[in-house]
Amino acid sequence: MVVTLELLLRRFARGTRLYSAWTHGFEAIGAVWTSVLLGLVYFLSVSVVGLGMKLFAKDPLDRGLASEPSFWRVHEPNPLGDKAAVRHQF
Amino acid sequence: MPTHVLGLSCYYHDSAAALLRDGEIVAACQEERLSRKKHDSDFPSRAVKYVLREAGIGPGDLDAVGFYDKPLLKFERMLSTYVATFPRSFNSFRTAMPVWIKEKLWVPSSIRKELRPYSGPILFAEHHMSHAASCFLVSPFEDAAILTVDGVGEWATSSFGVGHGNDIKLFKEIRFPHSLGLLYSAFTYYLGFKVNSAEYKVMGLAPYGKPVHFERIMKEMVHLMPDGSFKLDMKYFAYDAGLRMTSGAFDEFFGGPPRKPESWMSEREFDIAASVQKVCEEVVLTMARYIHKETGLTNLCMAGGVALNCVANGRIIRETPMKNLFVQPAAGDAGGAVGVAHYLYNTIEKKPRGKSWTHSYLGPEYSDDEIRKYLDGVGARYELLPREELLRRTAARLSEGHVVGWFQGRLEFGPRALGGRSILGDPRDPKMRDTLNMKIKFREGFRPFAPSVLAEKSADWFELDCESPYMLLVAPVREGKRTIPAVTHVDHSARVQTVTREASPLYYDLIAEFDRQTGVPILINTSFNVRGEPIVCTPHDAYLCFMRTNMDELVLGPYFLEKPAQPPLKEDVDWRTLFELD
Repeated sequence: MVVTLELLLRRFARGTRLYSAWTHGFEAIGAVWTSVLLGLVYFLSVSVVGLGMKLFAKDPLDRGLASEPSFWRVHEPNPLGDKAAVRHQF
Repeated sequence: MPTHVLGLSCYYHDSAAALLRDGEIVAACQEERLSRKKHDSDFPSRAVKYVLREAGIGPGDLDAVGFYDKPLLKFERMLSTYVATFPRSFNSFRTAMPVWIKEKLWVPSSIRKELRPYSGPILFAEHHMSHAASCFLVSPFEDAAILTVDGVGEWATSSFGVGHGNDIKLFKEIRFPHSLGLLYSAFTYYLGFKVNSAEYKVMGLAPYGKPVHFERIMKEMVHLMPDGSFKLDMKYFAYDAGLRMTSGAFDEFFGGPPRKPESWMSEREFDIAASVQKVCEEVVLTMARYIHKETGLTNLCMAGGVALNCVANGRIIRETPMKNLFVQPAAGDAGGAVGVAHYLYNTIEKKPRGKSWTHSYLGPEYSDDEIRKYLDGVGARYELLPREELLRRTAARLSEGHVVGWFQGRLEFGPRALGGRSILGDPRDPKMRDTLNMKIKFREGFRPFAPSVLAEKSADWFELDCESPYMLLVAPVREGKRTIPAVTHVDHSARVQTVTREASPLYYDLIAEFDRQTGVPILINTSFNVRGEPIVCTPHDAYLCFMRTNMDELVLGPYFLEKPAQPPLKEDVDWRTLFELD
């Protein structure tokens, strides 16, 4: 029914306030659902890994300020080699 | 058959396209200049169309397309950050993930869709490699040390290495979240300015204050090693986890919340700006000294947003063993488009380097006929002047204190207007700075203006022993020459552009004519735009900007326009409703 209504409005009421209100309404519903789904993903995956890392005192961001001779890190060459590496997004 | 390589940078800020033909740059343009949306980060569709048109080819004629970073490495860094900063990162995760899922993870598909019928390879270079290539491979040096410093690429926030011939090797890097660019942006945010946009305002504000917080910042916030490497104490910052740049601890450190945008500024803000500027200079200078020690080289190439800090650049030349400095004029992300194209052509394909850059006029140009047709179309009143008369009259008006819009040749690539799309004024006039800030550009009163000077007379006026063609070096004005108040900052410094006849013949001749009439080989040169507006690109943009501001004259190619003679704009709107303040 929603699909039929959308097709009818798109055909006959495009550019009207009614169609604008209709699309905005669904955008709002979409935004809420996106937040809910992303919230689930975040708290079911990121939280588990995050808490695990905290438990084992691992910091992927290397934020510790312990004394070191240098904070420069070696620029690791891509193991594929330069010519092959440019074909990949990693 | 010539080889065409297209370089692209987009999706973060300052998207751009650049095209090489047989290793020589044909055209490069930021999308914002064409879309009229400042710092436009969308796919640079208009810029791509333009560079292809300039080369007289279609997408199907391209041999390779390069993207300026590695999206999956960046995504890995994002995920690591969310994990490391759980649960503070939820808001950032919720905001960023839809964009990644919809757009940023599908870069090759987006490029193919935009470049139909192109079917060749889509290639990727690391962000800092693109920066490194953007400066070294277009520099005049056969051998040079390379330093790239910005906010963040994939993981790296700074890197250094060497370039030799067409090869580049990056040795070491500093990794996120420890970032000089983000440190500077955090202070930009705290001082009430827009991040990734108004960092140069902090640099301009700094000379009004005293660096009273420098020692404390270096002791508590920034842990700098003698080799120029550093870490930030992240308890003062929030950019690693969230949508804010600074944390509550940062507010406590400076005894209050961030300044509200557009609110009054006091000595407090001046001192904070002076302090972070000094920190930035200290870090960059320490890095430069270390890189010299490690590589033994005295030529230095720089890129990345921090390389636009021309005060630090000036000090590198004056205070480190580096003797020659080349800074990519589009040092920010836009320059990555040039960098990836050169990296693929020169370093990966091992093709010899082309001519080094002597200017950055790489954007659209309009013929006299196109300009005349436009002016006739809007009913503008103009005079067509021969070259000598155009120069004589423009210089005369400038010497009378008039403000002139100057639109000539190709648009500049990079954030600086260098005589292609410039607003010009008389540097001797003490009121000119306020006039330009308040009545023409409608921007903050503290903002300084830069001088364009004839290259061979530069050393007479400024303590500068080298050329600065891209306005990327700040130098003191010589003591006996402080007769140019409009371009002399409160600390007696100036952000100098040296102009040569080879790079910019008409602009050079205009300054020379001004010199002949006044004895001063210098003009004020500021970008042709109002606050929040990208630099003008077309005659239409220039005419609208001219008509909506208090500019006195406009010179469009050979056409000379006077404001009082112009008919009122038919569809005039307040520019402040068109452009968001930067």
